[in-house]
Amino acid sequence: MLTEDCESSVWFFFCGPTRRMRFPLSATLFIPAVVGASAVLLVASSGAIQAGQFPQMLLFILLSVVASYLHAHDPAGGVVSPTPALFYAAIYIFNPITAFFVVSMGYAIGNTLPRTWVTWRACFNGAQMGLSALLGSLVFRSLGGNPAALSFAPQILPSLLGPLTHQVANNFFIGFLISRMRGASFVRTWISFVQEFLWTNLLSIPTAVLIAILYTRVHHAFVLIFLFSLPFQRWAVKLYLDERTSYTRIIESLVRACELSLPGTRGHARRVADLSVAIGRQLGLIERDVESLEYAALLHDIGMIGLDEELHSGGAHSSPQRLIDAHTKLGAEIVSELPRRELPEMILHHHTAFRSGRGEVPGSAKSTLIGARIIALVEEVDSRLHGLFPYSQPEQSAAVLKFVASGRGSLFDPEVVDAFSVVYATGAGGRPKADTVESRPLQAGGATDEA
Amino acid sequence: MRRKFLWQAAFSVAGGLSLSSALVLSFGTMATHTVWAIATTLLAGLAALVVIPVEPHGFLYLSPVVFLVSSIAFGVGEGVVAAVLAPILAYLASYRTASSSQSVGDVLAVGGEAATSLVVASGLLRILPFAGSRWLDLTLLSTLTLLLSFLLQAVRISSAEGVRLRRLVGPLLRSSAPHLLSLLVGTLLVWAVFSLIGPLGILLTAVVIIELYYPWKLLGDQRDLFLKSLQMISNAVDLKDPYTAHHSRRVSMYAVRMARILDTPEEEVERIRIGALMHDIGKIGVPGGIIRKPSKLTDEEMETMKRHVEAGASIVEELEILNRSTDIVQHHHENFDGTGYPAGLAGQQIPLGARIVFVADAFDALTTDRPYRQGRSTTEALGVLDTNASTQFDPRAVEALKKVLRSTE
Repeated sequence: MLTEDCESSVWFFFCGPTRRMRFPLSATLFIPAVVGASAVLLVASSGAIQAGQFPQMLLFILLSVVASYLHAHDPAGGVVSPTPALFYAAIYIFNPITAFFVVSMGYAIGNTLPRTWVTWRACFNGAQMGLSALLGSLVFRSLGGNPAALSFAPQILPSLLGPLTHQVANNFFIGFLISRMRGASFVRTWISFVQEFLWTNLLSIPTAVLIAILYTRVHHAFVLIFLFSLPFQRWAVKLYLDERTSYTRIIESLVRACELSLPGTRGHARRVADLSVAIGRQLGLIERDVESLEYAALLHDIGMIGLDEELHSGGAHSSPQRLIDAHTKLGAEIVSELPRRELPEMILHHHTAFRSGRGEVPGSAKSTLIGARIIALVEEVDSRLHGLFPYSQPEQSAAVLKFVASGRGSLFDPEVVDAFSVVYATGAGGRPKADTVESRPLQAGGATDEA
Repeated sequence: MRRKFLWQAAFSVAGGLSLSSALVLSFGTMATHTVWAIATTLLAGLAALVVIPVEPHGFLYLSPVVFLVSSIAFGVGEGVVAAVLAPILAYLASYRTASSSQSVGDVLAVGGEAATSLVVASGLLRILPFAGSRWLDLTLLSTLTLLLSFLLQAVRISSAEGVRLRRLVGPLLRSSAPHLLSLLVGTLLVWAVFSLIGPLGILLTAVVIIELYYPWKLLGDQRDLFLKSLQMISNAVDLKDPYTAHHSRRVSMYAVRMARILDTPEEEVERIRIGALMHDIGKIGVPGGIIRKPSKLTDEEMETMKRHVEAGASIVEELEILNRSTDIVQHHHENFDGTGYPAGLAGQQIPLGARIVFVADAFDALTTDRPYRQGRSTTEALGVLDTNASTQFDPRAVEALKKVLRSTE
């Protein structure tokens, strides 16, 4: 689900068909500015390129091309890709301008390999990746980094900060563009990207240091050991993604089966999940939290299953409030069997997350609380729109929107309401932009650690 | 349960003993490079976080890559320290997320097993007449240690799960072999880099290998989540009647053990496990009033109730992985003499899994308390099953259940 869906985080930007993408003016100016700046920079400082190391540069470019092509989206956050390690190694080994040249060339060419490649995308990606490498390499050198001495303790700081600068810069370029296109807050998007990719990229640093040490101390050909790891990693990632896809499908079908026993709720869980995920992304939640939010939204009414009789009779046996309490408790209890602690909390509070004491639920993470508030709002909206329990009649969407607006800050979290308004306006609920962004195979993207 | 406890106790003690003796014996050498000793132990802990699931049961850990190199580079004592502490460190590190289903006993036993294999393997290496290079030493030590810990794991699983060893070793070896081989290659790679650039090489290369193997950990987590989700869904259905909470899970537990006693291949056992978990999934569509009704059902209500097997089969049929168990869900109410529903199959025509699940289902239903009557005792319930054996139940399945109950008492 999440993995193939191009809505997913940064994939949105890279695998959607470009002709129907909306480009605000700032984005339209940003792309040529980045490409132009890097072209000028490259031409102006071309004298500094280490021309004597031409064969090694060529080797790096070729490897980057291969590696940019081989990558997979890691749904737990980030991308399982070999490119960061290679780019970090280039940051260590070459001088800043050479690193800039090698990385931008390799990445831009790698971006043209998929059949769906687009010129501006390849140029922009090459340019921004090269600029990030330049910054990373500058930081590495200015802190006293020296590839020949990488195995000594004083090198630890530069060899960490160089790649980190690269990543943060890279997240900046992509984050800026995506925030403009989604109309979301730039700083929040940037921070969520940095969080999302930090861990996988940190793990690439040792690989890069190892490549650089073997390259400078033993032989240049040692870069090639890097190639051996690729098929192995791809295999495991593929197994994992397959398993995940079939898992999500199974859970969804079982939830749908559960829904059949409740009157008139067909599709409710799926709709709530789709809209919640869209709002979660709008709020800049990281991918792992979005995934939990999707599961929690799918399962939020699972506790109703034991209460079907009371629901049939419209809550005649007991008050609606008692039914609501009972189903959230039961639902949380059912879901507590899963090895994810945040799910039962989200489900337990999905009717009360904002109302009860401003949502100060002790011991809950911030993302869990936001998740519960999102589900609270979306569930209310969907129930009103479709006349589900406790409402007997469907309401007009204008009336529902008015109700949501009036509850901003009292019934619902104001931030969630704002995000909801944006998502609802652009996609009218359901699967926003589902008609403009097709699902494509993962390989079609042609982008890596940031994209 | 008792066997498992004994095993854990034995290997926790073995681990503790080898840890303390290793600390005493190699304290002098360790003090000369305290930082590296601590770093390799932490690294082994990080490696132990990468848990590779193997079929049909059990796990491999990445920590041998670190402690094997450490025991050749710095001496066996340090290897043992890292081997015992690695799973404990990994357990502490993942305690907050609680994604692992391991108990403290498991963790201690895993460390104990690793240390025992390492100690035995290095003992064997001394006896064997090879005075070769350190390369040869490392290769032999790694091979022996990995094989020994594989065997220990096989014995542990076989005794804990009640699978016969000969049924287990084949499939287990088939799914472990690629990983064992890559652990060996990984160890040699770490050693190669260590010889080139010193202790930092261990650190860097081990992290590289951990990163490479990380997707396997994700895969393991995903499988765990999958099985737990099935349990969750089946439990949600059971909750339509509060008195049958966890019914499907217990049925699944009985059915798996019965299947093993009947010497079924492990693939079939997995099919039965899922079939038993999902056997009542069709009750989703049956109104709760009928399920909870204390008095006898009317004919019409009985018809509705009977429809749950086919409804369940059609739900399961559409889902890959689950649809291997469709026949179990569909036929778990077929009587042995052919008078059951929905198809009226008799004897060997009924799939073995369905016969097993039928018996387990009946036994659990008989022993559960109801609002209108107390659950029967185990002996009474077995009496009822015996009376109806070969008319309603497969006598072999009833015998298997008796053996299961005897072994768990």
